[in-house]
Amino acid sequence: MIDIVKQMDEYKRLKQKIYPCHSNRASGMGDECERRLVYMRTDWDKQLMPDVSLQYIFDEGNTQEEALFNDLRNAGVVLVEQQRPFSWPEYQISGMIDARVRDNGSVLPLEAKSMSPFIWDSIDTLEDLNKYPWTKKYLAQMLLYLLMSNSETGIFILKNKSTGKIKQIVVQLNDHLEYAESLLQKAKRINDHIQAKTMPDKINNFKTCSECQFRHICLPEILANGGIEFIDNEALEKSLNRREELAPLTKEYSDIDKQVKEELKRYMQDKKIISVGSWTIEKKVNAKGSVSFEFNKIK
Amino acid sequence: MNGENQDNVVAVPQHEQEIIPIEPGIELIIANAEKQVKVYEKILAIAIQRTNQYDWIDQMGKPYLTSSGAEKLMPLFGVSLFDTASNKIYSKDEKGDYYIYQYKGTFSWKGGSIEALGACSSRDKFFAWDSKIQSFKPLPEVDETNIMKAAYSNMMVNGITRLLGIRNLTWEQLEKYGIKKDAVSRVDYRNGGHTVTDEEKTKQDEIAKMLLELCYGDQEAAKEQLIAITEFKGKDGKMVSGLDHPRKLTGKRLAIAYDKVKKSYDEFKGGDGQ
Repeated sequence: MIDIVKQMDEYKRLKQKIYPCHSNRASGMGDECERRLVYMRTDWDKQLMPDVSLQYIFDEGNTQEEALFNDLRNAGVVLVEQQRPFSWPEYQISGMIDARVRDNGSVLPLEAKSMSPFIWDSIDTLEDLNKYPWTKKYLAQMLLYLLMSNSETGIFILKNKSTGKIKQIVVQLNDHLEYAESLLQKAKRINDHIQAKTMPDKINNFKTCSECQFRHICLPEILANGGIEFIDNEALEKSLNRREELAPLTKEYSDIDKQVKEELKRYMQDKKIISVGSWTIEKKVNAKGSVSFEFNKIK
Repeated sequence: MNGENQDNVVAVPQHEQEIIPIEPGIELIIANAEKQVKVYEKILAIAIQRTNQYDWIDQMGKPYLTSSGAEKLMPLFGVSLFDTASNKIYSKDEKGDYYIYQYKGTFSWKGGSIEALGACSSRDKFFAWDSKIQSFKPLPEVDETNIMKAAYSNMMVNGITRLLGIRNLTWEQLEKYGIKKDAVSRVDYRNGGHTVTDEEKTKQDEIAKMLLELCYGDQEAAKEQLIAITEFKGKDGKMVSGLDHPRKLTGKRLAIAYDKVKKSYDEFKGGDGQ
């Protein structure tokens, strides 16, 4: 029988490609590891291929962003110069801005990012972008676009991958001048390392290094902090097992309770007390008009 | 860990009355051993459940945890890696020059540590075998980066699986925790390392058989025919060269080639070919 999932996996695997990198990419300049940014320039062809599931995420992101731009145009947003390349030879920085948008006579850089509902819900401000390693790079990317396009203001459009809803976050270059300057200094240090054939120090950070595409060349110390603990606690285990046993009953109780109360509300509109089988049920109404029932079993 | 020597341990049947406690703490030793078995089973279950079908490959019929799968387990269990070093060793034999990449690193977990090695040679079948000429590719044609990456991956898999004691697993063990053999990619080294499904292999064989018949047994003509059939115009408008052996065809390209050859073959059989 046809295995569509397997066929799709193979297709995604074939799509995975490593592209040459001869400049400091604006999208990566927010990276906490300068050593990785040097490797990106000197050993880009040696990087480890990410898991195929990442290709699904990239492709989904591209599809979402394409759809977003269509929607924005349909909504009357005037987009100009989509995917315009930028470069700054002095710092060897390059990048491509998603689009520029017309706003009262000026044209502002616009960067669209789609994200999972959970991430989307947690980001409302520029500061929130610091919550995740990959969103952390977004601000750096935008600031470099602002510098390269001589603009003072830029716009992020964040799209919820599940609902399609969007959020707008505005970036003012003047509010982040110090950080923008530090990015240029970083670019300069990277260029100096490449010229001198030297490397920045290893950061030896578990999370970053264990997932780095250059870990087989950099050979960092990947020192774990924590990990699973195996504990002996019979009482806790017993409670957990009982909790699992009771879980289906909780749902059943809740469903029946709801059903019974709805039926009783209809039945007892003009009655205060009724008897059903071995049960008596008394209706109570509080000052706010909320209805509750008191159940008594006749013994 | 001495897991490598476990196969040499043989259980000796004994009569109950002959079992004499060797030391006063024997019950404690047995209790600890039982506890260790339980912990091992727990580790196995947790480890497999954390992986997915992409983290495993069917290597000549046996399940093999990939490097990405093994590395997923590092943060979960808190496995550390340090003192990593790599080395490229050059060598020569009657077949010519070759090299081996070797990686060495210390893996530690819960107070224990092991040194693990990983190696890959420029004669690795996966990267260097040319099925067309049934021989290894010349050294300059072997992608050195692949050899380096594979050596590192081998060290990671080796170190993590040995440290956690999750080596030599069976499909039954994996299926118990949701990893199904059918969903896992298969690697057949006899095909130069490309992932080829049984269905694809059948199609490749059928293409070879049909083309040979179409060309009245002339192998060269069949090869030319295949090149012509598999040539196509790329998205950039440039022509993509055809392939000269059905074994080089996989995925969509194989499916398209198979349909074309089958159509010609059916016409041939329906006409003068019968």
